[in-house]
Amino acid sequence: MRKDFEAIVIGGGHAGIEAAAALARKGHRTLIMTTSLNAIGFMPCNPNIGGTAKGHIVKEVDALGGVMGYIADKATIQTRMLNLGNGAAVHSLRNQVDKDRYHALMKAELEKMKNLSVLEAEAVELVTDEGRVKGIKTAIGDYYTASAVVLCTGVYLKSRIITGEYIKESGPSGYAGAYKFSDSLLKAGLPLRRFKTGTPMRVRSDTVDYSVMTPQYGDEGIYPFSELTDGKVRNDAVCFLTYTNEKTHEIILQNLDRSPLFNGEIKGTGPRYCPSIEDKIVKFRDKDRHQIFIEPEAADGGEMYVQGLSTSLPFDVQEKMIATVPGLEKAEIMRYGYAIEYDCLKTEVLLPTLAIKGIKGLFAAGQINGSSGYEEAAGQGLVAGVNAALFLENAEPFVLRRDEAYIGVLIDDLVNKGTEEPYRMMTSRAEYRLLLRQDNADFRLTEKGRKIGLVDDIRYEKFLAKKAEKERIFELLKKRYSPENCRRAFEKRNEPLPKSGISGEEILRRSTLDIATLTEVDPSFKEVDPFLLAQAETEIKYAGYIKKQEQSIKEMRKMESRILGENFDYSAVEGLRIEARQKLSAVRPLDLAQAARISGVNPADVVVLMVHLQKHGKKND
Amino acid sequence: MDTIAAIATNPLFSAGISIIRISGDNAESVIDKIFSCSAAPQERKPNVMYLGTVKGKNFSEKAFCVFYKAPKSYTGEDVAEIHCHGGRGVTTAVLNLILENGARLAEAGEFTKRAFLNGKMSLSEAEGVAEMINAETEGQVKNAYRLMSGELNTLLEKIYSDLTYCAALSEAKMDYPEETEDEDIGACKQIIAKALSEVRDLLKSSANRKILQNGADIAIIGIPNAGKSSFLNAVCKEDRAIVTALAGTTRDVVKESVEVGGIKLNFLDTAGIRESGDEIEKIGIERSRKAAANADVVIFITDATVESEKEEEIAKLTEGRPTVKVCNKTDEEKYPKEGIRICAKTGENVDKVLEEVLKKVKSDEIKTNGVITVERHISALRECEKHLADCLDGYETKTPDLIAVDLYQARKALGKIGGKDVPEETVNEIFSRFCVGK
Repeated sequence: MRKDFEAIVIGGGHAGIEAAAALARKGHRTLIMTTSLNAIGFMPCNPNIGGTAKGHIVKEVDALGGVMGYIADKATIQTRMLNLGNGAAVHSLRNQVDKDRYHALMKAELEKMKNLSVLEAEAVELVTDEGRVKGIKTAIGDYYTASAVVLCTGVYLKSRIITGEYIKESGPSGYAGAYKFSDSLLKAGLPLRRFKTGTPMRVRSDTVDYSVMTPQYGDEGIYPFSELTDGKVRNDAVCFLTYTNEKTHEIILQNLDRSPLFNGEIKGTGPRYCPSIEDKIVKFRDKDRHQIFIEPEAADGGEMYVQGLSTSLPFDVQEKMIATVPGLEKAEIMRYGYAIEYDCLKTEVLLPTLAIKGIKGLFAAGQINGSSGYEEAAGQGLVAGVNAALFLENAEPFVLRRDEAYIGVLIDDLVNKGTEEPYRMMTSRAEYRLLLRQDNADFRLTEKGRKIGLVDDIRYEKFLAKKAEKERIFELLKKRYSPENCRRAFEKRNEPLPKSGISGEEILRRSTLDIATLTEVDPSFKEVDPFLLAQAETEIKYAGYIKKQEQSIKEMRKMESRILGENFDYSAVEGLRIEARQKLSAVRPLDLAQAARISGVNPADVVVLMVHLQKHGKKND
Repeated sequence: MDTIAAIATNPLFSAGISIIRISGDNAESVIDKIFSCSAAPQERKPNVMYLGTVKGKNFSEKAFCVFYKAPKSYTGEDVAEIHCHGGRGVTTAVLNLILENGARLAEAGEFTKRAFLNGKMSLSEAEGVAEMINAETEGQVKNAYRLMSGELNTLLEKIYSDLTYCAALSEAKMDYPEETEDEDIGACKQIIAKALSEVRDLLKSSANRKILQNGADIAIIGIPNAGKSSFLNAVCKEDRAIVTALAGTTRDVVKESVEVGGIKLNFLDTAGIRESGDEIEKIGIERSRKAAANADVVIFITDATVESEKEEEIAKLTEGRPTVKVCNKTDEEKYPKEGIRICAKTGENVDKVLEEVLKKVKSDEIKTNGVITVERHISALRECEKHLADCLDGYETKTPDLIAVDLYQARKALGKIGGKDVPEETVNEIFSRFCVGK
């Protein structure tokens, strides 16, 4: 077997897959290496893909030519659009996914990919020479050479699983962790830290009493994640809602001293947005119940995920507390909940390209960068993979901006703000949320994906056709209707009739009217693509606000025109606080806008920098 | 940070005591070099005042010294103060000694700037310090104090946190739609409306900033010999501070500026009206008209000893203007007229007139509610007002993602005054208030 590659991706999780696929699709001989091929595309926690902000990322990955979207569609067993009542910007697609099928499909996808070798091996050493990546040594002593390496090690570095008093050196779900590679990274000068996350127990389906729970079905008429997916996705699985109660909380509170979170055993920083049940109960003592969703792990299997009961309490406590939940009284636990601690990088070494400072050819994506979530990992994996490829090609790097994609917000936050806990994407982190909708991800990013070489002809032609159809719809919306045309539809809704004529666009602009009104006035709109018509309605209704956001983007661009650059001497700036000076020198922002986003740099520091730039005429308008 | 020093008391006036302030990394070592007392340097405690001696090459001065340890000091750095005798010579000598021993002369406002940069005060508080230094009248001092003490900040914080609460509620709903079903965001509209009215009140107060900063322009008009000059003399003769007029738009016509009740009153010169001759009188009337039109308050003085058509003509100038009518020469009254009855010659009831004038310039309102005087604050508040108004416009028909845009912008505008990072705080707020997450 040949051992010389252009690029090596370490880890076969959601980040590793996208990184490897991007490299291979861009024509680079790539090796993806993972400790177990059974763990390719493995979903160690919740059995769904998407959700608020995360669904946006999946669509962005897809628009850029990534893998996650179309495989997720194929493995979907229930599909829902969350947030329908909260406005188009936050409509979020979330699919229940058959984990086994997702893994199998993903593995098969990699296995048929050109330029990509797939290998089960444990990386133990990153080999570098004079600040350049040379290759990877494996546990059995093999040496694989490459000029670019992408680290996608997930939660596997020095991972430790904790359930109550029971502690085991292990990766998730019994997969082996990797215990040597961390030291090699430290030796290469990379700073590491410990993060923590957790997962709830799984129970046997036929021991659950669903009759006392509220069933949750999928939504009909939902657009899939991927533009490549034709037709509908599977949507027949059912989830169930139940609640904890005071008895559950009592058991947890009585056993807090046995919780590794509270007795000091776990030192890693856990995520606030993914709290364990013991965390939730301690923090919100006045809340008398918490939601629990029972979700299938796979379409045909009998294992159910207990969403909301993430815990590292001892096994006997897990059994006791679950027995207090309506419907779970007799539930048989198949896997117990646990917390997992792992090594990850301090984000100060990351560049916006996801390259690692100081070692040429080294990139990182996913949980090793301090993020959490399958989707966040995939988004980073794609960017890191593309940039590793562009590095090999000696080409300009690829960076998504905050006003272009959630992936841009995610990476910008990690690089500039850093994170003290596993970072989860949320729509509230995106200040240009109205522009970054899930419905327009392809319009935002397909051209970019084409330019970086990930969007193939099939995807691109589909996109061009969609674009043409959208233009046609906007053309149709210019057609004007007489008051007589509108009378029936308007009067039914107590809507004042237009004095002269009204165009389709003007009908949709009225906040009280919608597509239903329009199709009543002009039934020919039944014939157009309903998703594109809905998108047109959103863009028409939101036009004023979209303008507002575009205005703020202009302001940000102005700040961006004030270049600081990599070689800016912060010690020469009079009046800059020491903390700001250190942070700025560490991150080395490209411009004032980026400087302002760095945590530890306050508005006063930005003012100081502005004054300095003005004095020294470094403005670049 | 390098170490800076400056005379903290007003160096232009000789006073009993001068204070010299030193701030920066070397503050303590500078003191150790020049100041000695019964306690050895390593025994001295912060925040305690020691009596000792400042020794220079050819002088020695008894002085107090106090040291503040970072961050518990005005600037947030190590700070030392020397309290010495107030003569210019000795103060300068002590300062020079300090400068020779490791400090450099501070730039204007540099102590405050450091305090701001070290997070000891918000931007608006720092601006308050600047206002305080420039304050001339009691009203300005009080207003600057409000800024400096953070009163404005507290008010803005309250509005900001109310809006953050609304934002967090709707953001939580959008990011955790399944887990926040019970949260009610109906109350947000009222909170936003309240915030808008508070911002508007603040902006309204800024309309009074010209009066607070430059004083109220008062035109005294009346026919020749009605007693305008006598009235002004009576005003000035009282035990009142005569304030020199600041350079400004009205300087060329201001005759006298007087501080009354904490507010500066600029009496506009309408001289020329006493001159005889048709042409000149016309000019006089024209000047009175102009003065009346531009003034904040018009004092219209009538003459109780004569009956004059001119007086009626002048009366017309006061139409639609805030006017205090005054009837002068009541001691020789022949033709009783409307207004406050005074005798300018003796000064009788002049105070009553001034009281009326102060009422017209709303001095109470200015002094009790405070006034937004900093242009930067006004423009930030205007921006905030606009976004809040947009937010409420069609509130019921809008989805939370749109409402969030206005809330974000409104908070960003408010945050400009004190300096804040909006998105991170929103996120923090979400987690401190709600139990969410999977």
